[in-house]
Amino acid sequence: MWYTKFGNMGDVVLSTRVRLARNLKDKPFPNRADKSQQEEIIDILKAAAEKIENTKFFDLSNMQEREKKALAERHIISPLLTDNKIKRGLVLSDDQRISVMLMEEDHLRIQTMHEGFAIEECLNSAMEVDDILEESLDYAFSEKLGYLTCCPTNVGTGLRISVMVCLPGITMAGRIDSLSRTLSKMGIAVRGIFGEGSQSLGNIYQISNQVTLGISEEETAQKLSEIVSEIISQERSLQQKIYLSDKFRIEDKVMRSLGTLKYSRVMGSEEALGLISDVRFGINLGIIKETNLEKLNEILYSILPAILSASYNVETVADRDIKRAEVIREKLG
Amino acid sequence: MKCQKCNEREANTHIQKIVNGKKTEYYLCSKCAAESGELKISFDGDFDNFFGGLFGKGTNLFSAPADKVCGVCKMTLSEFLKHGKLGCSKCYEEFEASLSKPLKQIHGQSTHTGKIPKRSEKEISREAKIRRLQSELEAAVSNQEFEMAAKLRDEINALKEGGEK
Repeated sequence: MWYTKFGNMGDVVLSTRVRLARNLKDKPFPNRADKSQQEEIIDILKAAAEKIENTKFFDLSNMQEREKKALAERHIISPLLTDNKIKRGLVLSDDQRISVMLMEEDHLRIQTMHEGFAIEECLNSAMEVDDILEESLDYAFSEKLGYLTCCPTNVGTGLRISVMVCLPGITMAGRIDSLSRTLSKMGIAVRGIFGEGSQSLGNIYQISNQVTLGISEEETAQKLSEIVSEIISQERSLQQKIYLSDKFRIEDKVMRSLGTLKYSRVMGSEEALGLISDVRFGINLGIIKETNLEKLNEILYSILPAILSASYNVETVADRDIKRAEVIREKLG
Repeated sequence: MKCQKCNEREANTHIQKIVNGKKTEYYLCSKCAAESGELKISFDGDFDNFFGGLFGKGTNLFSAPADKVCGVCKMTLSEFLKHGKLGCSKCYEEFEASLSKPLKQIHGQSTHTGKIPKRSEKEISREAKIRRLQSELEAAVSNQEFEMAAKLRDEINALKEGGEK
């Protein structure tokens, strides 16, 4: 699937996602809809979303818990969509690049995804999907406030662009906190791999816009694009600087990490993500040549807890840690 | 300095406890600090309160009765202030007085300049359309798409003239 591919600026950027929040006019938001309204709204949304080509509808109440969590670990759906409190649905394209979440926090969350740094591709594709949907849906929209959303932090364009990056250089240089502080003043958030409130695992961060009102979609894309480009060039130059400052120790560190990944028999996901980041660093610096970034992305998206449970039918943490080490060994072997 | 509990990882959290005037201090790593239960930080919970608090501050409880109710979804103002989430699109009109100031605080702006759904276009004022086209024009200029920019400028002028007639 797309998420393991090596894309534009793939040495730093794993993937790009764009999401649009939309709601129907005159219908309560998901948090206020009763059972019959939930059914009614899902039916309306499903009928509209089925016009998007090459997609399938999934009723999430009929999906296994771990399957849902696995989709969330791949960022194809949000964690909220895995919650069973209300009726929720998903319209997913066959290539998994378009995911329309039904009855998330808003009636509709249109999400488009691409490997590497690809804001324009994602935004264009999201706009196309939005155009198809609005042909048959009456959106809640106000001239002054734009698209009306359940949370006032999304009102306006309802647009969130999120770029997932791996920043071992900036992290090792101890600059991640100051980067987050600076960006937050510019209306840009830096979050961990699993979004709001999550810790940063494996030096993976999501950079996303916070402001949605009084700024157009194009301006948001341009601003985030400039900022991420700057982060990429800083990350690249810090990786070089760190390497040159202590060649043998860095080589030792990344080779040891590769060795641990290749020969371990039990491995937790937190440890694995840290080691994968070290090996990415080693590949970027040309120290490690026997494997590549695409292979590492494939490993990353095979060993997260729910993905592992869903693919190999392993339930307990202890069994998963053994299976994880085995999967990594095979893929690197 | 090493963490005082595990003695393995670097300490990066300084905890000071003052109980009955007696001060105790520890230096822990983030993992041990989280496990110690001294730091009870739940980001999800705090976020809700944070936004709720932000909206609460904008409200003058004397001028707006705290339990204004949305006529459509029956969300009350106090519920909204608590969770920071609205119940339906009508809430934006019903609670406008409590929303406008915090919206400005969050976004720095108060007027939408982005996409307009085609179905709403006929109900949208000329000013809003001009605002939208102007933001497209700015984007086109900074992307050096000058043909597009010229086209947008003509459209803006046509809309402006149309209104003067």
